[in-house]
Amino acid sequence: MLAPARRQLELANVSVVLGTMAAVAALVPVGPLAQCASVLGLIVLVGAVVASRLDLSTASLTQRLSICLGFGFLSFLVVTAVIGAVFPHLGVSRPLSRWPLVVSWCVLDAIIVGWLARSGSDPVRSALSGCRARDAAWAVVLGVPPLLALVGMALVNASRGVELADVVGGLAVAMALAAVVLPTASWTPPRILLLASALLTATWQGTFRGGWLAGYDVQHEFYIGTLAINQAQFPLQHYVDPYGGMLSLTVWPAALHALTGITLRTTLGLVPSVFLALALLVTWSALRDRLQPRLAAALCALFVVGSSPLLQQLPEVTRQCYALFFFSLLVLAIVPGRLAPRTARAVAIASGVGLALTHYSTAYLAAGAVIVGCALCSIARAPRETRILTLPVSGVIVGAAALWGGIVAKTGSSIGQIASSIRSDGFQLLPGTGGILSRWLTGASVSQLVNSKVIYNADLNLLEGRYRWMKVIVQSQELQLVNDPAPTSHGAPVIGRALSAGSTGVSQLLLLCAVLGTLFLVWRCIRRERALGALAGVALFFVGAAGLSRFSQTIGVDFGPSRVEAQAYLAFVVVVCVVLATDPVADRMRKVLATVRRQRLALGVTALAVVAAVMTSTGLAALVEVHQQLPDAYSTTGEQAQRLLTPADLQAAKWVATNRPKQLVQADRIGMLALDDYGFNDRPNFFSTVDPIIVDNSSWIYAYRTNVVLGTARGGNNARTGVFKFPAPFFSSWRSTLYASGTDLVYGSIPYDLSKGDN
Amino acid sequence: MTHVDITHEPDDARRAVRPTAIVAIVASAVLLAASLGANALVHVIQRGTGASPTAVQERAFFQDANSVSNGITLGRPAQFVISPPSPSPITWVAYDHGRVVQRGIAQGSAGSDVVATLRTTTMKHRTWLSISVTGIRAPLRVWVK
Repeated sequence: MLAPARRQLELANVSVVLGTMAAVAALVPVGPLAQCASVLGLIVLVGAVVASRLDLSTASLTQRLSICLGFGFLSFLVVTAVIGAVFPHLGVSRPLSRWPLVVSWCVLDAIIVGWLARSGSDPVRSALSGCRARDAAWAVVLGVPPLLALVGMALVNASRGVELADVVGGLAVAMALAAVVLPTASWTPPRILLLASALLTATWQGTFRGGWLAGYDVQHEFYIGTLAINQAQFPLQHYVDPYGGMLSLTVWPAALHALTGITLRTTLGLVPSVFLALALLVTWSALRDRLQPRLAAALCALFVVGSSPLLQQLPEVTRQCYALFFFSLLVLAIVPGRLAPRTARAVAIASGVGLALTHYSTAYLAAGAVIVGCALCSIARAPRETRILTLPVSGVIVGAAALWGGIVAKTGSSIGQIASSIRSDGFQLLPGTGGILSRWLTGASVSQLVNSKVIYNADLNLLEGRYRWMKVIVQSQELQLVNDPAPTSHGAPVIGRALSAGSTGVSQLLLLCAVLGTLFLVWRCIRRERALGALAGVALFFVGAAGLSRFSQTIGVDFGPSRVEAQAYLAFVVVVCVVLATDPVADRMRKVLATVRRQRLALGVTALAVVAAVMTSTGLAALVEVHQQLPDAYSTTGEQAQRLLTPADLQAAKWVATNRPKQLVQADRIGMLALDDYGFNDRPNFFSTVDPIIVDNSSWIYAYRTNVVLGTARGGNNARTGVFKFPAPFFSSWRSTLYASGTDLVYGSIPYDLSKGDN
Repeated sequence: MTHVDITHEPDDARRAVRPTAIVAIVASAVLLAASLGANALVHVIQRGTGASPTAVQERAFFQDANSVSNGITLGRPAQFVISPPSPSPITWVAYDHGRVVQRGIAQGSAGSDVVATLRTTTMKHRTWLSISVTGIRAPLRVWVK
């Protein structure tokens, strides 16, 4: 029975089978597997067809997979964007809605499948060659922890205990550790699958916390995605904003919704993390060219899975997750390795275009890095035949970023905002107090928690300055904000301090390795290995960019340093890998690790470092450390939990958006996020403050769960946030209550009679 | 270093129409069946964890809230909406300064909008009027001009 089936499988054209399954799944998206299969099948099929035009004969399996997915995703975005832009001129008003898109892609799929069946070529089988059934089985098994993470998170949201979430968090740490310490044997799972599962598990624990989407940027992204799904065409009509020009926020969610029926919330909550895992896969494929599996796994665990920004913040900035996938492909292309130069150039160009289409600031940073890389290649006189960042390649990457960012995404105002901030405030390097060491460790103080008195004084200045026009009743000035910080972790003092010191030490050591490695590569590319110029230049740029964003308060407030760090580390990890693989360093390491005892010691130290780094990046470390913000993935209280939104908050925000379309609305810094889901981010008549001294008499006030149930509110700005008691008694004594639910309130204006002092 | 010739096409691929068709049909059927199974599993997990996306929360709000916001004129009726979490009846009570001025019952399917009308003829001029709805912590509140 099995033998004939196996024979049939061996004879079948896998590309045609995949294309057929994708079409069937798109036509009948009856459940999550079919929904995934339809889009994934199309991406893999198209990617494999495009990749088959390249010379991938020397590429490893993971490299072929990465390149295939990269070309497939880019092709999917471009083709769908073209459908969205051209079809309205042909009489199809909503081309990115269900049937126009299903018909378009099924026709395209049928053409490809027909051509492949006729020609007999099987690019998908070629791309997957070398993939063992055992690996596929492990992939299925290791897909369980991320699903458990979703169940654990749902239980925490429903206040039914954090035990499963804690276990799943521990499982993520254990998987990262196992990827490093397990021996190479036939029974062990592939290390990259362990790492990818750990990353997905950790990220999926946080994205839906609260019951809605957790995070800041993702709320406005939701609004843009809603516009894209409703308008079902590209570019968006009557909307000018850089967000509206990114295909990752417009065409991609609209296409997923149309082809599969997946909701926008699901897309924003689950899919970006998958692309972070793909970025890890690409990085792994670059590292494995030069390093043994265990060492490659250790570097991936420390630099990628152990990166707090990547695990905790990036899933909430979904557009950047897609861009980081393309960025890791760009880094793979410029590292001298297995890829043929022409193939590497094609991959670099595709990555550059993908970056420009998905996230403009990641694309701008990559463009800057490419310019430095190209310049260093010229200075080092890298051989032209093997040079990847040639002038044409660099020109396409930089040009794509500039043209798309300038013309379609219209990013001029965002860039201008940062430029004007620098002009007015300077860079404000190394802000804060204390010695150089503490300033170094703290970096730019973004979202620093301060006493509410600081916020009150700042608000008084705003009342006398920017908000001078506001009409505010005099009684509000008798009301001082009352500090009300959220509870923090008790922790275990001794272990907590050791863990804190360990994770700080590891992060500083990684940074030091990255900087020294970059300088070593620059020296080496000029003196010996000229082909390293591109990587050295890119890394050099990111040393400067990461340093500037980390230590400049001005840039840090407008553009989070953690996001630059996440991007930079994807380049730094490859730099460290290349340095470790160079002859002098490898020889030295061989001598140092000559005995079994030393090897075991090195493995033990690396394992401890991985545990410290991944415990910190998953947030588990905060439970052990003293007076830390309780991580929302594992706790129902604390600062992070108080910043979460519930579906009821969104319902109330929708009511405000429907009933108060033009006039003044105010909410606290977290409540504003719920209103961002309905487009308030773009509104001039919206103010994110509930400090009574700067709440206009005519404003409506939106109070969400934390304001109403927990009684706290947040004020301040991006740099400094204060937590204070929500002044509900004051508002309810002066204002009408227009909307009430178990968790949300909407206060109306102060009646004219009262504000005039007639009462 | 592994060398894989991906431009190589197997000679029998052109002749493999029948196996391809069989595998495609079987694989598509298995995919759809497994997907249906996964769908059922998701629903079971959602029920088990209490994370049902269809959960409805009780709420109440004024109709024409923009004009109500600044107060209602004495003698003119005000309409408000109660959205019940279940078909069970919900009582509401309107009062000013602790004096009950009107009562009512709202009943409708879960999540529907049940409109109630508040008469203001018996109320005092220039006072706050509150409407307390069973199950909702804070009352609706409006100024009577």
